[in-house]
Amino acid sequence: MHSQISRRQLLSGLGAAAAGVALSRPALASEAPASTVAVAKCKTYGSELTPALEQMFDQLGGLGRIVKGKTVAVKINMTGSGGDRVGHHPAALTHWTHPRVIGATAHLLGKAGARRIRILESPWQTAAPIEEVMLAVNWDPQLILGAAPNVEFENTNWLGNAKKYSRFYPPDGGYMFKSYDLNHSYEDCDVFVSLTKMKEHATCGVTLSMKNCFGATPCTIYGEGAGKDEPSEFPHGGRTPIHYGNRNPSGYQENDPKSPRKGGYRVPRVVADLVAARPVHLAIVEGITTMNRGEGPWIRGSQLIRPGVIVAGTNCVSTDAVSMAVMGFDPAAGRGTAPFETSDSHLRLAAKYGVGTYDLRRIEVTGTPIREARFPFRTQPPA
Amino acid sequence: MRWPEDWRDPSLLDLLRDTPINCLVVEWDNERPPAAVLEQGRRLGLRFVGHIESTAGRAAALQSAQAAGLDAVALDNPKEAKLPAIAWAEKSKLPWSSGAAVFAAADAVWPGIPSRAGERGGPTAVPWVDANGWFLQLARTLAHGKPVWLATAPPQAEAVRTPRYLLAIADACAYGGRWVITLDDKLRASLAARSQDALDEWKAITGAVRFFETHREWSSLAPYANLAVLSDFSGANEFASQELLNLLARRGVPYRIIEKSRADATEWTGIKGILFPDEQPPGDDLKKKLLSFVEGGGTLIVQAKWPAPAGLGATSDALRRWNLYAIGKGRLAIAKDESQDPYVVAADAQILLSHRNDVVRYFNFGTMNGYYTSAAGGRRAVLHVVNYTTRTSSNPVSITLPRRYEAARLWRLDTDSPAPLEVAPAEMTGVEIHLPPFGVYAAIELEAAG
Repeated sequence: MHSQISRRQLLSGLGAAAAGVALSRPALASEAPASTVAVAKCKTYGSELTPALEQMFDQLGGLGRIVKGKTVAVKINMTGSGGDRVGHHPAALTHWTHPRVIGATAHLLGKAGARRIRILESPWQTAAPIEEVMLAVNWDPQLILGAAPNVEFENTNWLGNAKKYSRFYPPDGGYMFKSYDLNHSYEDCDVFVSLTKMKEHATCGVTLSMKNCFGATPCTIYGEGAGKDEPSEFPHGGRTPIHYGNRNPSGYQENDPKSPRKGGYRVPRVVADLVAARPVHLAIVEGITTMNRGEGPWIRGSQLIRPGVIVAGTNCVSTDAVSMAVMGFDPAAGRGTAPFETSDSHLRLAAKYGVGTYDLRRIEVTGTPIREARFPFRTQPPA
Repeated sequence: MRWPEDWRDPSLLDLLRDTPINCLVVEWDNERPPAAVLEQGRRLGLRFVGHIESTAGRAAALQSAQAAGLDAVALDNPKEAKLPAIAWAEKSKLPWSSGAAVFAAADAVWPGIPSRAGERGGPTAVPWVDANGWFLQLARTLAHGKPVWLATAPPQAEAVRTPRYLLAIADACAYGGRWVITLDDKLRASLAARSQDALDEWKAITGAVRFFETHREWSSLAPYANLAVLSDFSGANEFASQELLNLLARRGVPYRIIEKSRADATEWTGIKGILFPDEQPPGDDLKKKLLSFVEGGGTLIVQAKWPAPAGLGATSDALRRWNLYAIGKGRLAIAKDESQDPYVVAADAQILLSHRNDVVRYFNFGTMNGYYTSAAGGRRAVLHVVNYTTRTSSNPVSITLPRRYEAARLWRLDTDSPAPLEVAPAEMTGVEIHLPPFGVYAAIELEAAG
């Protein structure tokens, strides 16, 4: 197991700085690292799912080299209250990572030799056990817990079982904040997986493997009910301090108090900060079924759609870029161009940090070609 | 109905022809109705209740009520009356043991989403909802099944549209109570002037009343729940226990109410969890019964002053707010803090009992309350849904029920006959029902296999 000091240094880049090596920040997408992204068509959550995922992971070079003997943290997406649906559709079909995808992923991680698998999420306004959040929406948590040896859940919307939060440092002092305090589970792992739903996002343009990490921020610190100077004990409210800058997170001062108080400016920067500070080793974006127009049932007029696709990669920027292309968007788009009509592109911001490239010319796409998997979110009819 | 004081013309009683309204509450302190109104009303088969609010001159008022031949009086102290009496007082002052024939809460809330709305409500992040269902459930328990009325008036400062009247009726009737129809100034004047718009509104209002009269039998069904709230609901425990009932309802957690003094006589069959929110532990007999419940497999949730069981180590719940003791097959959960916010207690109760034991799950239900009732034996149930926005939701309601019902029918206020609903298997266990759009109220009649 990595020592805490070496892992922390790795995450923050302090190791390199301490060695006197100046960190260079590629300014262009063409300089950020490129990697392979796998695309698979998968129409249902039935028996085709696990083989589809397994093949994708093989196409990426196999999971064993990434997870064997390791503690793997898997951040899933359970945004908003479980009591809200798009129409009559259960959340798993429209805006939450489907439990069968979670179970299949856990199974394959276990099969590849992961020593421990910890499923993480910060569910809306609660520190309740993840199992209870799942039971409340008719899921059977045992299907996930039993998918592999040593699977556990942790609610990361608060301190949880640790004595303190873990601090993560984005490069160059961060776009929005110099550091971010997260639940210990984001540090106490060797491998970090972002496993999410393929969706648009009202504030951020798209929510894919990178934006999924926004939910790692605990509302005990980043929520509207958080303590002023110290974290509150329990989470209250949503992350409006980040969206609107109406107050600071507990004990934090943002880098530039004069920066715009608009979500389209602030959220992409926090997303980029987070994925730079807490790297993603495996990004999985499931769009077997999902929703259009945004990220949750609060988006008026949203409906179920069936892209029938999964995208996965070992670089979150590249994986999100390919996902965007599948969704019918240009991953190189900037503010003012769909899907970033009202926001900055967190892909560009992360690329500037050197996290990865969004340039499709540099990304090797394996499996189903993008053109065959394409499902333009804005023009395809709903299911 | 509350007969408006300024309706002096007996011909206005024609508005009540062919409606289910059979009882008029008339103010008896000052502006009493003319004798002609009383006479014409009796000819139409109506009964009259004189509301006496003032204590000054009460004896004279009671005497004149008797002399005028009123059928009953409504006042805060029924024992003062020789006529049949309705106990009419603020909720906390209702004399449950007075022997009154009917109980009327003078300070019930006007149901709906308060006008500071649009904001998300505090802890739940769904809108604040003013609702009387929790109170009616409690009142019907304390009143030993006698009728309970809500004597709340619509706000006079704003125009009150028909759906708000329908909501006031549904908010009361769904829980087995009755709203004493009281008109706002505008509708009162328009009806008196016989404007067509007002007559149409009146038809809708009385139609809603007729709907619930037609389904009066539903009031006899008991709440279906596996969580009970046991308290004296009074004195030092009044606020916390009653707020708990309100918040549990808002969280969609069904409950049964056990009044502490009658706990021995109450059947606890089917109960998996008991919330005892009273500050002080109960006396020895009740404590023994509660611990026996735990030994048999139940979960008992109590406040911090409950003594820890001797010789047993405590574990902590996941949120570290409760000390948990394994006793027999069950668990005793004792709050760690002495003054728990009722919101926290309501939320934690659901977790302590576990969502695994939910008897109903609601989806897209943020502005609604549900009241799940069942006939003895469980083969038949009625689930009432009251929608406090009064507008049809853009995201329709789904309901999951672990009980395996085979058939379901939907009743709405604006239809004479029910519509069949599809009953589909739910993801894990039980069934799922999707509701079509509805306005203020819907009732789902459910039937299980034999």
